[in-house]
Amino acid sequence: MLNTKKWVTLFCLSLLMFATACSGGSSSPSASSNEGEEGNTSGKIELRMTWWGSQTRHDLTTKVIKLFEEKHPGITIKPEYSGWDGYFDKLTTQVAGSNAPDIIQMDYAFLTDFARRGALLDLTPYAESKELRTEDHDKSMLKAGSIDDKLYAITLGVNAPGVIYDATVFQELGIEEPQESWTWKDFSDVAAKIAAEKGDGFYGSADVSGTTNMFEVFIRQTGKGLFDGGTLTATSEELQQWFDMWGALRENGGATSAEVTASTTNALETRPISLGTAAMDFAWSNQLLTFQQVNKNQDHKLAIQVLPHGVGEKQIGEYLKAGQFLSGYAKTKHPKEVAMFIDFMVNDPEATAILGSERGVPVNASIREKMQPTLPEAEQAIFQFIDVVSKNSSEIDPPYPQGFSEVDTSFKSASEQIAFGQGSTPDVIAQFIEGAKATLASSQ
Amino acid sequence: MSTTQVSQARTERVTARRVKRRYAHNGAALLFLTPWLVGLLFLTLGPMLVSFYISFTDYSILAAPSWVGLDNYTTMFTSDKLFIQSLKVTFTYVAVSVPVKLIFALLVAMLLNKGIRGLGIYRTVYYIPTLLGGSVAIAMLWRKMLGGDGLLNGVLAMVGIKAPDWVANPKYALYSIVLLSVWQFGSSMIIFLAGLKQIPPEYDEASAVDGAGPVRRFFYITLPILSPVIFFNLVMQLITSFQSFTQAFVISNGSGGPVNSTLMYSLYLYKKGFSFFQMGYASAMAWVLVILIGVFTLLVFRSSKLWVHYEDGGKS
Repeated sequence: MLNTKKWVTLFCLSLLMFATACSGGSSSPSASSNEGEEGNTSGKIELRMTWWGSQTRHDLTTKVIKLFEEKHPGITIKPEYSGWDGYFDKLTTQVAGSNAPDIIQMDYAFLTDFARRGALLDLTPYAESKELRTEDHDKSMLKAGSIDDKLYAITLGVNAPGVIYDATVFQELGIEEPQESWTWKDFSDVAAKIAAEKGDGFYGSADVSGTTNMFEVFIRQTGKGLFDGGTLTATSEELQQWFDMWGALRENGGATSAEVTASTTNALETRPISLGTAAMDFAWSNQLLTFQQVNKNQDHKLAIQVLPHGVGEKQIGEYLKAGQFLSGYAKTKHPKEVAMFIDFMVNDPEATAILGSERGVPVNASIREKMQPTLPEAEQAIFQFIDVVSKNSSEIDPPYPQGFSEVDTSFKSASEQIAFGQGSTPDVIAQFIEGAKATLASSQ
Repeated sequence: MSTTQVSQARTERVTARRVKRRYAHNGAALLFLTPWLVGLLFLTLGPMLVSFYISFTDYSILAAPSWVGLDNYTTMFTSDKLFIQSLKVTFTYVAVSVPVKLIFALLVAMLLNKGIRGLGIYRTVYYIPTLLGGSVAIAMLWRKMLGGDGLLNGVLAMVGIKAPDWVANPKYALYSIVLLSVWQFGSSMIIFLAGLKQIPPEYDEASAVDGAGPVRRFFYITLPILSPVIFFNLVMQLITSFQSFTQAFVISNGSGGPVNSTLMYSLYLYKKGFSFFQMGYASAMAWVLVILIGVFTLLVFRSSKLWVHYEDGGKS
């Protein structure tokens, strides 16, 4: 009896040692949190911040973090950055483990999911107390960052979808550059013409038939949103039109072949326009800069135009979008400091000067005005593009419903099925609609 | 205190000391085992039990799980087309890659067994892919090599063959992953080599004297003696192949594409859990995988009576 007891004690003791060894790492920040709450600024507060993006963005953001740390010696910020692929998988896991970073770069597509599930910090009190100043922010962008009337996210930059094109190739072939009034038919004609002139291995445009964001604009042109509440509104006829258009383009080289499309990723370096094998691609306005930087033909000049209009469209499909947001983590130990940093990143003149428009055009109107004349040519092009879209666009639809990421994946898969000729287009479309409806219904 | 009481107390003390000594001895062993036991409890058994519970719930990770009974399991088998697709992909992968890999490993092992010069170097060189194979870097390299304008197609183009993009074409994508797995034949090969070294050369010589050709000798002597080793390799490879994830994840950029042609079971499970926020469903899938692997391993064990020969008649 005594001996069993003894080994149990021994076991528990070693367990205890194990447990304390584990918690050793995490005990220090919680200790400092108390000091912070008591207003003792000499205590070090450590915040973690996560974002996705390109190397340029990493460099600029770390610079801003350094500047913030210089101005607020009591706070250090630990950056955790990565590319887009896998970013949200990791974040979800961290939230599940109650170990998410304090400051989170958020995307419109995931905002509802994270906010409704209680993962994000409600910023409303900090906006009301002016610790987070929002008076110079576009109202539509504040609305975009609010879910159920609570402010969960601050826009980092304003973007709009557009067609990035290689102006040098257009000039070289003597083809007129896209106009603001162009239609999908104009786009198809231009794409086919470029392919015919340049010959085998060069495409008019990247095939984005599987990109939900771009199809969404096509649907918006018919006068409705892609989703209404928790249902998909696109009809099978509309899907058929969309896929037929791209199918025709794949035939004549106007769009990349199924194989080339399948080997293209979200990394801008792998896009055909960057590799010098296509003249057009669909992207977000803020990406123009990076596209220019990673282009294989550095002497080529890239430009951006609005998405083609629908034939007989009911409303303009173009919209302004909050490119990325900054959110706080609901369980952060330092909500006030998180709000302070978000404020710094979007409202501080020095910080915004460093960030420029890499994440999109700044959301703060007064900063935007001050900034524009000082910008290099390429960035001015983005500002001008946003001006054009601001005048001619319709309001952004509410954030995507829960279950969107699964619908998004199956849309891509459906487009691949059609491109590779696996199943007839109507069948694939019927399957996609059925699947999307089931997914959305079960996710609400 | 009487003498009997004293002596009784003494015997008690002596036995107590003896028992104490014995358990002290065990205690040390247990102390050293503790890290492993803690790991087993908290990192294996605990999570397994939690996952079993979660598999009966709807759990979006960000909110608390809610009980749904057998829903996840029924959805899987009745209405989830991608689940069926992932099963198909995984079965194809296992059915092709395991035998090809084992045959290849055995061939190379037999070549190396011929007693060539610099055997050590060859053994190392052939084993390296196994060490590297699971890594993300190698999978990325593989994608580059087999891609549309990769190394392989560059070589083929030189001889005038216009080859497809092996990793971006749904017809070939899975097989490029199979190839990557076959390339990592090293560990099976080393085990085969050890097995071959155990075969007494007298057997081979005796049958050669009796007039058996090399093919006959291989089928009637080498294979039967080697069968326990083949059995071991088969079981090991079967289990790891069912669970393979990294290669498909990296080569398809995490999508299982093109057209879900590389949507391995574990990849779909991962996507369900971490990309689509359906951790309950993912857990249910994990348990189905456990059962699947169990059933297949059991089948191999059962069938082994028919084809695995132990030199002592399997009595040991």
